[in-house]
Amino acid sequence: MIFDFIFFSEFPIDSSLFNEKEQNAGNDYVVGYFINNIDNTWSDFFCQPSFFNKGNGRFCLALESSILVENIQGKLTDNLVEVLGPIFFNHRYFTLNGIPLINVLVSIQEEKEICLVEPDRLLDLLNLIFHQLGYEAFYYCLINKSNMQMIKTNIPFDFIIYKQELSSYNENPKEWYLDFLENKSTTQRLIFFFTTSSMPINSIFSELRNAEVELKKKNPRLFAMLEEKAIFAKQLEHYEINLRGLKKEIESKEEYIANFHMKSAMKKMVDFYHYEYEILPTWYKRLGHIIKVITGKRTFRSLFSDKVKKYKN
Amino acid sequence: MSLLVIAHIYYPSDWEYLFERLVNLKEYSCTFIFNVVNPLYDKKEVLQYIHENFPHAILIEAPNHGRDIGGKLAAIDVSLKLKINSDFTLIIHDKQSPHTPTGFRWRNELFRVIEKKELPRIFSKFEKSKKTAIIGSGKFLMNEYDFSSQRFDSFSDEILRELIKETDLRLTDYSFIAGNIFWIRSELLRDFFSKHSPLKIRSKLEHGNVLDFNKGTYIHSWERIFSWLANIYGLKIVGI
Repeated sequence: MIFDFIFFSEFPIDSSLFNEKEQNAGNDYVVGYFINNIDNTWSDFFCQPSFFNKGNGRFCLALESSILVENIQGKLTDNLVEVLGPIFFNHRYFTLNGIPLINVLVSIQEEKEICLVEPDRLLDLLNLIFHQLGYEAFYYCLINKSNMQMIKTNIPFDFIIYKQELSSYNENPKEWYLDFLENKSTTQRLIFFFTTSSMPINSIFSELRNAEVELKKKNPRLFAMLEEKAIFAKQLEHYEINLRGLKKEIESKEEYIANFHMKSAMKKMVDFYHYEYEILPTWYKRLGHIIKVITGKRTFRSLFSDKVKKYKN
Repeated sequence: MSLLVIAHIYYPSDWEYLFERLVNLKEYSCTFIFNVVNPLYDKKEVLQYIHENFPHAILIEAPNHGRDIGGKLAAIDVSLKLKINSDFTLIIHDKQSPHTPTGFRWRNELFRVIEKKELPRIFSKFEKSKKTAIIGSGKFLMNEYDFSSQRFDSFSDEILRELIKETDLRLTDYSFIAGNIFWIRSELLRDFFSKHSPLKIRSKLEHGNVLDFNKGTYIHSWERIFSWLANIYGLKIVGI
């Protein structure tokens, strides 16, 4: 597909139902779990081995802001760190440029509450959670749940939010996507697709895929350009991840080198050598070399000549 | 007998050396948890290798926090939350120690615990003696504690004493396996880390590739405490 799709739908009470709904093997889209409560269903679903090693299908979370508000008021950050940690660590968790994305849904009624608990305080809490988990950075997206407008984000490129029920295309995502591809898809890379439809995600995804097939037939030039743009965006992401890796490697090497320049470290090594070896009497050191030959660690001939191989490995 | 492998993969090269040896464990009933550090490079190659050779492995990508100790704690947390049962756990990482010229010799010695010929010997040692809690390379079994001064001959002395007090550790032997690669009875990990949250411990570790050459670190202190689990539970470390 040209775009990365994140399909959000309600997290059901019976997690096994969601398991069936999420059969996305072979489909390269992201499953978004809309979470409004952290209970046993949550841990039963996310903390099972089969969820961790289920191929490469990516997923991410959209937390209802009330979960965060409760934790700010109850000062329960540790609890959130405990439940979110293994989820963010899961290799299938969706990342942009190698950095995890977390979404927060804020409903209109809650917006009053968010006035009491400012978006910045929500972000402070998210900052704390990610920091405690060892992340240097994370992407967030605060979305008004009622009108699907973005409130605040730090995602570094354009994306759109599509809510099927609010769209004039309603039950026909294919037509919406075709129109989007033909007329509006200039800068975006990512599409948030919210649905409460009973239609399985796989079926919606097939419809969207059909829209691309149709565009390819109808306007092959436009399709080729969009496809090329998507490939470049993926390459850029790949380079950015590698660049960050290389920067980290240089930082590490500089730290290692700095340690060797430290007088105390050098002195410790030289002192160790002096006290452990240098102060031994010469006859004892020579005897040590003979013992090396006897134990097979040094060649016999090397005792008499510097031109032969000294050590066996 | 069921096994658990907690393996932390950090370096973008030479990871094959570890995996080629871990394959030996596939003969046993073994659950693998790999932490492939995020975000270091494009990890396609290593991930592909894991998918092909360890298709049932649990894969996590925790960020590089707390070096191998942080990665292992993240993986232990996952193992506890996923309720993975096992008798013995291998704690291991793709050790390279680029700060020392003897790094590879150190690694090769520590990796003896996953050599095919050593494995039956190791498991038989565990089965013969219930007192054996940890098995690792005898060459790197060390002890920095000076009973007369009640201090550690380490830059981490203060942190170690702080953690012993804070965690209420009652110790009579301070031996540890330098390099943090060994087999351990899983029940010790389960019991200790269900009382002391691995993620909380991890959050206090230093970020990035810190060394303990000139100042103490929580990372190197917890490296020692991992081995002390044997003594905490009245058991012993055995070197091979």
